[in-house]
Amino acid sequence: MFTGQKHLLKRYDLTALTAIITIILMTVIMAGCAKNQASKEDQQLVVAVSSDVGIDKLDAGGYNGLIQAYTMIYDPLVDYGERGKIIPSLAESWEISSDGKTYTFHLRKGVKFSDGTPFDADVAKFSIERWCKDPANSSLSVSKAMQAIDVVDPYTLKLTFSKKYYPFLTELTYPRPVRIISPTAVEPKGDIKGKFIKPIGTGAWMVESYTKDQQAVLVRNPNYWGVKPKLAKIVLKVIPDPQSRAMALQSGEVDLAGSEIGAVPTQSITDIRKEGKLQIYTQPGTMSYLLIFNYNNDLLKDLNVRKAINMAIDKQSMVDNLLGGIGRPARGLFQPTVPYVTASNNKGYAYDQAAAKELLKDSGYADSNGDGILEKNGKPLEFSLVLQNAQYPEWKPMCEYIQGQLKGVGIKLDLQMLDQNAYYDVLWRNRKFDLIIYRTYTDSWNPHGFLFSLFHTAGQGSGTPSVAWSDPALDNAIDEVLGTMDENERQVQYDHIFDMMYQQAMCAPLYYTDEVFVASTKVKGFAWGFSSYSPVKWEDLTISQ
Amino acid sequence: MGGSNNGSNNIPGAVFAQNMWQNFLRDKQAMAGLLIVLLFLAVGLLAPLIAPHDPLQIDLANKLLPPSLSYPLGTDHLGRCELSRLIYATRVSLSNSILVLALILLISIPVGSVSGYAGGAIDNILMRITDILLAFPSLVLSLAIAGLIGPSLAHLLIALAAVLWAGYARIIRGMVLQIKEKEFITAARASGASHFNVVTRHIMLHAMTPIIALAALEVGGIILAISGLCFLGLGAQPPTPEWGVMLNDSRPYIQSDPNLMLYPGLAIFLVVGSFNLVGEGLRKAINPQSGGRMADR
Repeated sequence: MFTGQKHLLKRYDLTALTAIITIILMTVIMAGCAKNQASKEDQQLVVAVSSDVGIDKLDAGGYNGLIQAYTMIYDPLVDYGERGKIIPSLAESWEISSDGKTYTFHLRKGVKFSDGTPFDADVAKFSIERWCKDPANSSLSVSKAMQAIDVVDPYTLKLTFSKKYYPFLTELTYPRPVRIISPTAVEPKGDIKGKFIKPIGTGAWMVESYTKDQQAVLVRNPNYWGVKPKLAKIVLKVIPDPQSRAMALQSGEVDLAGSEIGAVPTQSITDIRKEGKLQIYTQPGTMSYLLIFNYNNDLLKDLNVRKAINMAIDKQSMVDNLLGGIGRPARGLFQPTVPYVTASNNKGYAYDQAAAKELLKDSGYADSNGDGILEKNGKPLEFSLVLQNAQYPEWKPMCEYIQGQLKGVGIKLDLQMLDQNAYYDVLWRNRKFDLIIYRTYTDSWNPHGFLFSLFHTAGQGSGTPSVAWSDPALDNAIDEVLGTMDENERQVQYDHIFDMMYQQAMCAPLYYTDEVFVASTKVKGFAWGFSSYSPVKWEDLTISQ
Repeated sequence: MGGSNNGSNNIPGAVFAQNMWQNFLRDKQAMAGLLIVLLFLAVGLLAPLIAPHDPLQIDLANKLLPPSLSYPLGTDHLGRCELSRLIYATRVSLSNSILVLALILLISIPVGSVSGYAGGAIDNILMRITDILLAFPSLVLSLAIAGLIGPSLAHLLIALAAVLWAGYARIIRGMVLQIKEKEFITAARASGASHFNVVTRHIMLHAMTPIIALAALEVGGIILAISGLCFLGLGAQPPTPEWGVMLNDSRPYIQSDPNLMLYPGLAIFLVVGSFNLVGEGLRKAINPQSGGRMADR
């Protein structure tokens, strides 16, 4: 019996051994195959993204999912070129009537969606009707002011608006909700009220597979009308924590991360640069960080106080010492990369604590009780500063630094760090702040969209107080520039607006961001896109083994 | 629940307390813990005297310095002296945990003793309230409350006390239930003492020692909870130095300056560990036979 058991044991051993050897051999063979394939046709790039791609709700007419995925899958009629120049996309050319209210688009011929559905003026009309006039899009003039959508012939589309508004074309370049979607993407097919079922666009990429909160795999769209991408596949891998994205890059788990699509923390970039094993690409962004003043605060109604806050902050030192030398100290509200910002109209207050103290003294402030904080009529010069550090981790050290700097001129700041939801509640709704740190919008929303949304009394809709400033003179100036169709005239008007903002110190611009991408050395052919919504020219990228 | 196997069953209060302290003083681990706790308390109390720098002084030119004579533990990302911040943070953590404890006792002693002494419907109502509070994980609940009333250290203390009192009320109720059956209580009642007098004079006097031991057991947990919530940004607002905040602040520098995370982490570890040793020692001292389990917490 004993020997019998031993035999049994031996037999099992043998079977197990054979199985293990087989598995090892198969793995080796399969790995070899995979490597062979990857070398030529099946090149794939893994990109770290910060949030779920949301393919199942990536409706071209909606606002869900990863914003940068829209520009990969869907095309607009016209696209956003360098510094806001409008370039052809699905419309090859267009004319604007002399009254500025009628736009005629001549559509590209022979374009097919990724599922083979042909694109023409009827399809474009279908697509536009899905988002047009929706109250959810009331902040878009192209939606709100749209009066008629006419199909003139199969490749000519005429849009008629109720008012003159120069950024109509700019709004049509937005990543969402204005891009063109196939009638087959909704159920029932071609119904403008139909339910979105799958993302079918004319863009360079189409969806191969998607796992919620994990990844989306995009492949080349075989029907794409433009230059076909060199890569066969892009894997958008969801890594929500910035630190983890940096580590995923360092470990080779992902090939590319950065920009708004999946930012890498400033400090990690410094570490990566020191290590020297990855490629770092930097270019000036279009975003600025700023301090918004509460225009209802009596102390902040004093121009001298607002100027003094502007002058008390050493922005250069902030860039050099806190932000790893990435980005630039702000002058005016918008970066020079933003349309209509010129060397002469981009003015800011230079760092000068002595002058700041002088201004406060002129306004009657003095430190009467010797605590280092200035007072007037017994009231201390003290403000709350609201911040969050979930989305912009660098805001916390920046605000702590600003707190220290303002203390230097006798202004006391009480920092209030809120979680993301509470922060946006304070910013957009309950306005319980004296100062709040925020950032400008980016790319195609600058400068008109950000100015209107935050600095115009009607920016948040009627009945809701404006966010950053409330002044009829500024309202008029913004209204006027938005209705001006002549480029040169607009420049003059924007010069005037920027000058008003500077003279009145309407906010305290702090910092101009950089766009940064970090890539593994395998990634070749990196080129910047024209906006952070299509941050990379994905079609130019290749992978070398 | 708690208190049912309390070692004080047949020993008069004063003798029990004396035995307890003797047991406690013989416990080497507890003594080591106590020593460290006292050391931290001294550091906290003397913070302004022993801190080499102003913990709030920002100096970007000297940021992320390695340890040196002038900055014994180096500087943080804003050029503030790390050691000075640690020292002042000791003060913040200890004083606030003691405050939370006081708040907890302030709520739980009246609730627990009324509930245990009165019994009946009052007991039922009060204990159902504690049941509700105990049904949630305490940290998550205090997180929710602190988030709701807005981030500040004061709010955080209120949130913690509002959640943590329930467990204590339960245990105190158990003690009171037990003590109120004793002959001396019947005697006190018979000699004409009012209910109020019986609870405050006779019952509480006997329950005090185990309550103190219980409290010591919990300080470590409270310090950890405060640091944890501060780490999440709900407590101390910048620039107040606090261990949890310091830990979170140094997170981005884990690759280049890992020591910045190490210091506050070590401080939390030492203090919480020591308080637990002290609490453990007290627990053993109160109940030497069973070697533990004074209460279910």
